[in-house]
Amino acid sequence: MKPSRLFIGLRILASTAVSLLIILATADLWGFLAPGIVRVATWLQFLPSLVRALTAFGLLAAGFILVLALTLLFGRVYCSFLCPLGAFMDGVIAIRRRISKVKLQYVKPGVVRYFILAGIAVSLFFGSMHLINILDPYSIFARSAQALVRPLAIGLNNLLAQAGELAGYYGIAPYPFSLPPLPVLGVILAWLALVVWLAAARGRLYCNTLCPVGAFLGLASRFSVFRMSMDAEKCIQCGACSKKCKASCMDVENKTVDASRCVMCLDCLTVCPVDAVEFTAPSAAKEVETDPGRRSLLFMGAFLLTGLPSRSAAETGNGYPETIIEESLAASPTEPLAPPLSIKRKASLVPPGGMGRDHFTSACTGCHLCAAACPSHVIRPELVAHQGKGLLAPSLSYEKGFCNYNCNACTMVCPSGAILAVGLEEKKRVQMGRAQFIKQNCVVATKGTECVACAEHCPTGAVKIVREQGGPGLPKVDEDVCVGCGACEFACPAKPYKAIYVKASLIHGKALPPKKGESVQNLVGEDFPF
Amino acid sequence: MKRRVFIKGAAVMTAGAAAALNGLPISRALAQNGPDLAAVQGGEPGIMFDKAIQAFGGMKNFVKPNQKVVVKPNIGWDTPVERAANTHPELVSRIIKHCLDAGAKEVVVFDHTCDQWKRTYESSGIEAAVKDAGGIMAPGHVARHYAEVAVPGGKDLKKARVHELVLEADVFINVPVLKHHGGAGLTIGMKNNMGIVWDRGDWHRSGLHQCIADFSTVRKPDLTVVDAYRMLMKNGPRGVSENDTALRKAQIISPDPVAADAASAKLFGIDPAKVPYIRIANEKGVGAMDLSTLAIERIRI
Repeated sequence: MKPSRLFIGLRILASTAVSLLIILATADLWGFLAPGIVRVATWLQFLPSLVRALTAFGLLAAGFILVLALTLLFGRVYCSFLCPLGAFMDGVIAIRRRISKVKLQYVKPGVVRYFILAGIAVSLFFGSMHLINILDPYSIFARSAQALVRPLAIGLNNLLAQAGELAGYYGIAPYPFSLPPLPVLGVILAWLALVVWLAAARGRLYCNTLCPVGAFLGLASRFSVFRMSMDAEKCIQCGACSKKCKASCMDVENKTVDASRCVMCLDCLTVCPVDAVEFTAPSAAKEVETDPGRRSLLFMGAFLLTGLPSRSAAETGNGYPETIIEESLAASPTEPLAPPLSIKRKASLVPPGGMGRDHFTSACTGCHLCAAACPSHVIRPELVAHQGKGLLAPSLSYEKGFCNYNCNACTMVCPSGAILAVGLEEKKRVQMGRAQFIKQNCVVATKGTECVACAEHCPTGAVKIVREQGGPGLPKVDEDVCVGCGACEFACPAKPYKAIYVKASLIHGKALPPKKGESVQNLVGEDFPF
Repeated sequence: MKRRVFIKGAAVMTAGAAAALNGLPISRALAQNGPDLAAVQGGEPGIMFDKAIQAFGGMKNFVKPNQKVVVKPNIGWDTPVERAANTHPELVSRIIKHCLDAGAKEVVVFDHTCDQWKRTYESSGIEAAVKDAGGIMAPGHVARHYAEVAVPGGKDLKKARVHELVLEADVFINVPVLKHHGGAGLTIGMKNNMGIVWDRGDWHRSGLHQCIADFSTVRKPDLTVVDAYRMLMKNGPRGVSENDTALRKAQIISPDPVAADAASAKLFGIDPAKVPYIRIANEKGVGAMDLSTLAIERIRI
């Protein structure tokens, strides 16, 4: 067996493993997968790792350096060995080949990819992640799995649960079914359709036109030590390699291989009848493209640097917004109540560890792993939720649940550092927002009955019930202790508008610790009072 | 095993069916001259239950062979045992053992939790205790498991969606934890029944006390076991820290849900007549609030 076959086997194994791990991470309803295992697959994802390096630091951000080093040694191995979308496209290509013959052939290099890179650099300069988020292959793959595979897993789980119940077995719990909001689903389906169509018709065309990672690693692979080449003496120009090449980079006429577009699938090595295609370190004499190389080196440097302005932009957020509801709180109880007030949220909530709108949206690539990890189902994928920032970046919604006080699951899975890991004790102090009480909406104020649902659910004691002259208890919020978990908002039964809601903090604060109060005396041994 | 299939959604159980539920012959045949209520103190939760149920002639007086039992502890919160926001797991496990020893076909445990259900089941220690004791831990977070029943005796509450496991059970054992509650004053047995109901937001909206009392007419537990081993004395029902709790090492059990709540209120230091839902339930004739009329067995360990 040719050694190239061995490496192709390795390629399929690695790319399948990475893809499966990411799919499993999105479809893991039961929390079987430890975050550490998922990270094996995500920390080598080039773009999230690069974003993490530019917006946060630490070992977790080092994955992209390894990928870059591998690229400088062996070319774009990321694209065939590690990229889950690449693996998916390879699958599409393989299926397409089984159905009918695909006519792949050499195509002259285009410039679209460099326009995309330039576009990203420009948009990053203005602090926008939109272009990256829509094009990054890992994020496309992960959010597609989250949107499409996860509901399948939920459906299967619920069927099993129902079958189990009929047999009196409750070991499988039903899971609430949910799809992303329609606009998000629309974008995901549209991009998936585009990717499938491009792959079926033109192989890895996506990777060499639209993919920013492909373009960027393509620049690096121009300098790679080892690369594909054609032995001009051996080559009989039969074109077998060119027809097999998914990246359309085998120029048989000139007997050259465009290293910047080669995705290192190694297929060409197996089809050459005369073994003219080889993977070697080319001698300096064979190197022709020196000038474009130098240009691209400059380009790479510029690209890496453009991420930095977005970081400094993130730090210039405008502090905590003015409170607008306070006046209604101050209204004296004798005054007649105003009509119910609808809740207009100016800013959307950012998950704990997201540090606030600007950091979160400047680092989120929209992979939606956090939404999959959230056991309370409050992290919801959104198209544009953060005042025009952060395309596909999720936000917290307290309609169907609230952020569980004792949970930091989302902070353990984010590959791009948009949600930084926070320990459980630290997370309990992260202030994502502050609860606001609207007296005129409250059933206690309008009906005079007992309710206390908000205070009952509050994990920190920030919402307390205050009674005036033995009347029914109205909630009072200690905003400094509030973490913005939304338990009060979720529990509030007021209709049509909630009487308590969480106003997002544009920059996450640190809540004061819950007030423990005096320790209660033990009562063991007292006599029965009856 | 057959499982009643409910018509989804708007299906309202007829008043007749609800009345049948209401008038279910209580499956216990009380030992002659048995007490109305037993109060135990001074031991661990398991031992105290052993003694208390003995006072009623053992679990066999409540559970007959081959019956289906639902045990409903308070598993509302994602907090550990020391915070006393949930029923003590040792008590739950001991009750299950007694039921199984009495020949129960199955003992199912669930709660419609407030915090995320899976974490709550875990951190309360109850899921592990139930499995250990041979009981079945069932989910309480699934809307389709709740069927609408009429509340014929209800003033503010006319209907409620109740978990089908409770509706199907031969024996229903309510196992609340006694604790402070910011709105209801105290949460004991009748308040704990909110965990077998789906749409409890309605109760908060239309007045908590009246709804709790109204619902107490629907499905009386065959036995109420109040866990007062550790009591949450303030910041209830969730509590903020262990500072809010007091060790009391007590337990109250009674087939009369109103008596159980009234005695527990006294144990907590509150006059039961001042807890509106206890007073209203007493007026409705659900049970007896006046402890002086009851035969009480007091046990000290």
